[in-house]
Amino acid sequence: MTFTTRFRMGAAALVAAGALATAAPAFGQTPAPTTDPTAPTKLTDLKARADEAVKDRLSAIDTLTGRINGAGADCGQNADVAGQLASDRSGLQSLDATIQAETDGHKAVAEYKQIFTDFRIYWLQTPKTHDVVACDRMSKADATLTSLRQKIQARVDEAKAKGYDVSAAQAALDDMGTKLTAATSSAGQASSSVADLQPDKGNQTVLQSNLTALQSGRQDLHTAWSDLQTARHDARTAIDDLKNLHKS
Amino acid sequence: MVASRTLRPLALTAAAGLLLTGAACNGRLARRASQSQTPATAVTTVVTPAAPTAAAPPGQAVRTDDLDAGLQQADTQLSQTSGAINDADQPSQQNSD
Repeated sequence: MTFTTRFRMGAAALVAAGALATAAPAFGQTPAPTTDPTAPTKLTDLKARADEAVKDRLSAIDTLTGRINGAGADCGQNADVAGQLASDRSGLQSLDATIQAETDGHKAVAEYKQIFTDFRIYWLQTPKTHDVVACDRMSKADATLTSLRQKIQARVDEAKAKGYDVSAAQAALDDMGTKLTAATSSAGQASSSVADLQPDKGNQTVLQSNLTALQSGRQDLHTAWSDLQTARHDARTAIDDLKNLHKS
Repeated sequence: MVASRTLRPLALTAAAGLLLTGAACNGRLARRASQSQTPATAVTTVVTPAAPTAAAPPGQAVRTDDLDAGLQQADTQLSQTSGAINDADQPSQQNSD
């Protein structure tokens, strides 16, 4: 093997690895909240900072709500999470009003912390909503592939009736059905396991439990996505088999 | 005098005949008019065209072009799914809370 040949093979391997890396979504760790922001010592500064923090979160809530409303499908948790976000919105607005009217510095500091610990908009509600929407999208793709599978099955049956050997196409279709069922199950598990996670309110045990649940939900999404891709590959295989059938 | 006596019944008979004929014609015309005003009862016969036979292209056992189209539709859905999963995998823009 010449150096040029080795170089070409190495380059091809790098290109293939790069293509796979960009095609497959990455599943990273869910970042844990480090430390909640410290309240400013001056009451006027605290109030200004609190108002800004609340407005940022209200904007994020609107974005998340838009994601759910535009999901185009529902794994079953959309109304639940949308309701939580609506409740968060009114709760944050109420808390901001309380802080702006506060005259007691100690109470203001405690109320300021609640903006973070009692809502967890960025750390909890955002990944939770993304998981639920990902499940919604998966269920839509799953339904499309299920419909396609039924059409392919009809053609397999037709070819079989004409005397063709459809064993390979049928095997691919059987696997496709199995993978679609598994994908539905994993995606549903991902969505339902995170939908009702509650803000930790400063409780480290709850915080760690939420972290674990989010991570597990992410893994379930990964599994469902892998199954969906396999189901898609099975569909391609079955269609190609139908194109190349020979009389048995 | 005799002639007028003779002709009078004939005239009466002719007049009665004309009246009867007129009534009969008017009845027929009235029926025609009423028929033209009454909307005809719609008898719609739906002829369902037979589903086009999916002819297999030459050299193939069955038709597959629509299956390819279905797979393309699924690919669009999968692309959107991939985007949603990438969103779910993004670290929160602020990890402090």
